[in-house]
Amino acid sequence: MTSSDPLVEVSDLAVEFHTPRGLVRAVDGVSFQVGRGEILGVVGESGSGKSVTSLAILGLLERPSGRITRGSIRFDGQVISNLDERKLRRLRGDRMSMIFQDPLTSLNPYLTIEEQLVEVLEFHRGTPRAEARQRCLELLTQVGISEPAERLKSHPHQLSGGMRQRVCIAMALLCDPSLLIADEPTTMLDVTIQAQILELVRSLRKTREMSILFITHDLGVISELCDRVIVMYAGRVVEEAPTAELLRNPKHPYTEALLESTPRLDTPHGGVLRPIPGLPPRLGTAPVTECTFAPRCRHVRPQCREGEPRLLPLEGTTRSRRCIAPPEEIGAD
Amino acid sequence: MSDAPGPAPRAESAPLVEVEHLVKHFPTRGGWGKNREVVRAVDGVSFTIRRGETLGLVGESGSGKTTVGRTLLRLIEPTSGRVRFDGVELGSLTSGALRRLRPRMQIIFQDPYASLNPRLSVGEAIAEPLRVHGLARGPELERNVVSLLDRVGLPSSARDRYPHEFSGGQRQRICIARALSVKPSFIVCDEAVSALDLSIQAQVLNLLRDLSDDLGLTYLFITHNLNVLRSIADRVLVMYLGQVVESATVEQLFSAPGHPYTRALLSANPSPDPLAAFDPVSLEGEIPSAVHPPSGCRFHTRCPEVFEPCPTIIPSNHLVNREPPHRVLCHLAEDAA
Repeated sequence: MTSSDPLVEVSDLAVEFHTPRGLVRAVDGVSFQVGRGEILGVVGESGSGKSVTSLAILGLLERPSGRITRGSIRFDGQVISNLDERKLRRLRGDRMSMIFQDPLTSLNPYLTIEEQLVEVLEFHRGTPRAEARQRCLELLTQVGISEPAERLKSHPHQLSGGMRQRVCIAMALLCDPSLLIADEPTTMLDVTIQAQILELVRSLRKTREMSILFITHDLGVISELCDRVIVMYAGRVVEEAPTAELLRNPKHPYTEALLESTPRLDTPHGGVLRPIPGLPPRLGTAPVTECTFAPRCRHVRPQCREGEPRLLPLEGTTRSRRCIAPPEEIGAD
Repeated sequence: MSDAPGPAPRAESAPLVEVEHLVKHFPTRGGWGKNREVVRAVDGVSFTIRRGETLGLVGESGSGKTTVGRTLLRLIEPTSGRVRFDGVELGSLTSGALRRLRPRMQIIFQDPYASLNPRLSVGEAIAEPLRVHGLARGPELERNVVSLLDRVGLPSSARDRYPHEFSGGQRQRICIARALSVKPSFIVCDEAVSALDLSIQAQVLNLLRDLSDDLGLTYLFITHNLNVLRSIADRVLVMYLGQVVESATVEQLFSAPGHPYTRALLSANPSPDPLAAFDPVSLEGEIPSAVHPPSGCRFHTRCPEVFEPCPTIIPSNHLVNREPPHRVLCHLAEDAA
């Protein structure tokens, strides 16, 4: 492998779940790459497939109800979408790790912070306890926890939300992973704590050259943190672009509509928000015969109903989108 | 003015809600060898809300904003302080009189999943408050339910369906319809759009704004989301550790924030504009415990502009602008001439 190859390569991924309502294809034909040292943002609303995609990368789909039915995931050149649980377990928490939205449910309430952190190093590295403890102290300090020795003795409920998320981040970093997947890690935190965590993530990328897949619905967070963004809708990637270009000049009608419906500080007071009419489609497994966004799209034209557009590069740019409307009709230009 | 008993007729210009020095202390559970202590959730909060106004209440978790909303409606009893609603002092009311006043003050919560009884159809859920308060029955009740559904943008066929058949945004519409059923003049919205997806959040915000325009509703809008606040509130109170540290119109607050805490909050809020500078004022640590709030100014332990008097002397409220009034609880603030 050379360092210019992407660290993660997802190709034509499809994931299906058995639910009480029948079979649901939550992710359908998703392809993207995460470069080395890159922060890739994933934006989308509930049900867009953004979390399922990340769980699939980590091999954490709930079995047997959820499974990959098509496509592949490569990590550092190796196909990992067909690995067995034992091999995946060696990989997870070591070369790739994850932080979730709710740090309280990610931590074991019965164990002290020390027990949970040391366990990671013992399992993956066989590090002796004293040495592991020293490493945990270092990491807790790095993620900005004061009095780390005291904190090691605490149970999760004794820590505040921001502190718990820092512990989760420290835990995710113990083995120096090359990939960190962060699924809405700041959504439950207050903005001042969020700012601290974002600063921490940024500095981690710089000092460790880690690749980060950052999932969020907050376009402000995307703007501050990510190099590139993919926008997901109804289990598909509908647009992919460098962050500033995407936010300044969206080229897919969904991205455009999402930006217009976002309340922001620079919107004049009393300015009416422009919501997206209607609701996202219900996902099934029926063959898709039209663009999934067509029913809510204001740029819709008859051809949109004749078949689903593919995700194609936009000529003369480094971005791509899944739309047939002329690019000049959408966004800023 | 007559001497007749009961509330005097109120001028339209009089505030709908007046809160004076509201205090709510919760006792902590004393364990083995632990003394019972109190959490000073709300510690001396005063404000007024004019008719038809949307007052935003913003603060981080633990600031006491939710407790203000609930004590205001007397869903929990305040420790002390006074709340007047349309001129009537709520503390002086018997429980029967308070119940008769309830239809006029409603609340919408963050989680529309938890706010609806899964066993009641949507029609029954919306009709329930009307029935409980004896406001409508029979065919009139049915007509009311249909027109309420229409008012919040749901089809009349929704009546016979159950909450689980609806998405989060639609459920919040159902909750709004139910709150509207008893023709309130005041609604507390407690993080009412926080759990919704962006595109849906905008739909519900626009609905709330239309309702206030059309029906003259007054809102107390509690949120931690500054962007949402900017789009819906007329005036804003910023809370920190049980106290209001700044009160201003939404324009004043966002263009000239007076309190260092407000400035930190605003700077920490990332903008989707890629050209906007993001340089958050970093606050040390997290919000301190409301059991032992810091001495002097409660914000001094995290304040980037802390100076000599802050740790020991309690700051007073400064009127930094007279009209419209803009108040800041900080030693650095100066009264307008």
